[in-house]
Amino acid sequence: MAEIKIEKKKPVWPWILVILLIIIGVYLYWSYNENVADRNNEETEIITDTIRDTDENIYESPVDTATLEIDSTTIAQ
Amino acid sequence: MKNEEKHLYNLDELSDYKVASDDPDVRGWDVRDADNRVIGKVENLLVNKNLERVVYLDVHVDKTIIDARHDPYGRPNHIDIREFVNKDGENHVIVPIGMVNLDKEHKNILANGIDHRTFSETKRYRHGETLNRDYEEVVLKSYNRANAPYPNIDDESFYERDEFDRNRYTHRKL
Repeated sequence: MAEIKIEKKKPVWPWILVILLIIIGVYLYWSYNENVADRNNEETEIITDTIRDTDENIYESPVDTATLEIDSTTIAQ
Repeated sequence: MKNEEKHLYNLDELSDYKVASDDPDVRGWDVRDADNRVIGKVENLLVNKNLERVVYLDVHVDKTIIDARHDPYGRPNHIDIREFVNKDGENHVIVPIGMVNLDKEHKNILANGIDHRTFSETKRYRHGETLNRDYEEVVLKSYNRANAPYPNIDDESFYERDEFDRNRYTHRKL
């Protein structure tokens, strides 16, 4: 039977809204992680300073932990 | 053409409507007459918004239909359907959806009950013209020339005629 029905198109704007929300969510997540990483870097630098003061040696940043171990052994002997 | 009340829309102009997902979009399909000759191509779908369905196929007719110019001043068999002249540029015709079958496999529209001559003798219109009820009546009379005249029907129930329902049209008494 030849019958062709028509129907209203489903609106597109809810999908656009969902996509926008996802993009905003991803951006906020990325932005939050960047801030946390920055804070961690700052804390690491402080620790590095502490080690340098204790050993009374001057190490180039980042700290070479292997050298630290050798030095500790030498002191023990 | 004048139009008092618009009851037909090209599907293209209704940006918030589309062909239902269960039904085929027949735009671009060939239209074949009773002898399986191609008489044109479906260019658009004419829909009635209240019924939410296609009621006519808007067919861009083939050159063979235009070239088979009937003589409008000759001796007409049916005087009431031969009182017009198809002018140059009038190369579209409407076909009621109930008078055709869909050949989904080969993407053809089969107008089994309408022959080439009837198509060529049917009043055409220029693409873009607004269609009115008078034109629809003329076209339906042309396609139904072998049948008894259809009783007058009011505007509200016009598309409940057999020509818009394949099942009823097939079983209609000639």
